[in-house]
Amino acid sequence: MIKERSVTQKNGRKYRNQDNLGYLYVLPAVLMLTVFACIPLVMAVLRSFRDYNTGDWVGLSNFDYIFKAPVFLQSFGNVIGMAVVGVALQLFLSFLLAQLVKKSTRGFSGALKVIVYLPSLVSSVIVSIIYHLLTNHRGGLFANLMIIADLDPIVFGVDGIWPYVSIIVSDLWLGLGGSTLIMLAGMLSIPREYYEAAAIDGAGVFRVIFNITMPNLKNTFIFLLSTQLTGKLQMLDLPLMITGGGPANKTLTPVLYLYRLFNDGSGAPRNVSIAGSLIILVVIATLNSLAFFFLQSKKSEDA
Amino acid sequence: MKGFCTHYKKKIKEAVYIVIAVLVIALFLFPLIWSLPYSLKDGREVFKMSEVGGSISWFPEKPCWDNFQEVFKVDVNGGRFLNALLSTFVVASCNCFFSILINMLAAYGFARFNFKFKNVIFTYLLFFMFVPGIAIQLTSIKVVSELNMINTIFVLFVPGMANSYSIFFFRQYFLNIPDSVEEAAMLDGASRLKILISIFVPLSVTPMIIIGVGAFLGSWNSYIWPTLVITENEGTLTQVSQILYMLKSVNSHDYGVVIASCIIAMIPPLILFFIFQKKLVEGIAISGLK
Repeated sequence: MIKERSVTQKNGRKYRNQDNLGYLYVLPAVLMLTVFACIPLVMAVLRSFRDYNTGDWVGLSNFDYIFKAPVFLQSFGNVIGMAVVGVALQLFLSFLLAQLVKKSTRGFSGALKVIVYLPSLVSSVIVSIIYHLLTNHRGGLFANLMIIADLDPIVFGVDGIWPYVSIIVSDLWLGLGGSTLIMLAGMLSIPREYYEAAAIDGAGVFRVIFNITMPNLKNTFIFLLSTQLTGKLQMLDLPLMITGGGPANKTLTPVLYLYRLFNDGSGAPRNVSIAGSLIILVVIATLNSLAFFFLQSKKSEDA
Repeated sequence: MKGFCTHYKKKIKEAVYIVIAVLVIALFLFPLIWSLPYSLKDGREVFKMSEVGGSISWFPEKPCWDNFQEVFKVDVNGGRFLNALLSTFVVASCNCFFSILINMLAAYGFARFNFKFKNVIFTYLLFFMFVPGIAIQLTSIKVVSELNMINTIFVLFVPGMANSYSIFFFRQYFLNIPDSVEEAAMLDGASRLKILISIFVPLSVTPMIIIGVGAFLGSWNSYIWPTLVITENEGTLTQVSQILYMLKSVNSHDYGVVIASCIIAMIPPLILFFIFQKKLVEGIAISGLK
């Protein structure tokens, strides 16, 4: 903080009591976040205990409803599976890509950074349209390739694990750029001397990766893990656009389920979806802190 | 001899990296490049099925440039494509401008002033970084309708303008600017606002681009929020993603037009990206270093 009380201006006036001006600067943001984040959150908590139409206090019955909805629990299973596989792949691949960018010659590393990030601009609707073009089982690229090779075309949106693969791969295509750039920045901030010392000791490629690169990327890994996990557990757009939650709710995610339940109008009371959204809040907060603590304690053991 | 060997090894290593880099670039670009010619295909030609041992026709037999005109003629529930492009552009630009303004002002307040309860207020704002969107989105609908914002253009960008993460990001950047930079200006009697504009803004081009482009893209690509809060006025306030989604569901027989509309919708983000490419790539990287 600047020691402004000691600063005397040329005209002899002193900078005094200007600190209270700070309130003015933060006011718009505080106001907006209060109206559009804090109030809705408080309302969500209150409404989850009330009936949507009458406003009567109904205790825990909204939570009871959502926990008894088999589809909701199933959707949690789906999203946890997709998130675990997706986050693991995202971390692993962005680590490899960042290594590649680092080791490539100047021109190529520049091109790689830009091209890998490019898909991040594409909206999920457009992703689903491109996906359709590639995977449609009647006349899509992959189906045509399989027909040419005289194989039975896979129906990507339905068969076996392919619906999951479709969502995870689309998500990777969209998101790898960002995590690669963050991983790369982490790698570049590791002092060169560490690598030079390792080279003198004659350490091999894998030893360098496991003993120097990875431990020094601890904070980057924690950051990516928690942001990626938070993001993927809230997956909505991609399942909605690509598989529509199907087949037979196999790729339905909790947020997609709640979004549908809320818009449905006819079926469940609306406050049930609000109660459900608070469960997601608790799950995400818990998992985030678990991931954080796990990595932290693991580090201190190593040290 | 040994020197020659290691030199040779190094060359091979370099070549291997180049090959992998080219493969990765091809893999990431493939979906986009592959789709391009489909925008010129006639409806029946898009999902043409191949035969056993046959071939795949990537390019259209006869380029159907009409697809790009057809895009502007379609009318989905009163929403027209050109209209959607314009209104989404206005929404995204407003979101971009006000996101930078509001979050930068707040970050400046937190980084350079020493008022009472500063840390309490800052923690309060940061808390919302960890609240998942769905937990506030559903009740936000009630809030915006109480404010009479439903079915107006404001509902599309006002609720998302202030953002904890952006404030945090700007603040980190400001904290790294040494105090000595502004001391001279203070001695000259410059006001705090003047110091922000003449010293902090020029030094913070990178975070401004990250937050600004992020906000623009967020609005440009948003689909869920508009469907929740635009129930009337669909003719003027329908957003690009909504039109694309509806086109996709309605027009499965004429997919060339759908691809053409996607290409047009990609132009503004691509222009932004190529203008600010260098700063973006460098700035996203910093966002992970706290």
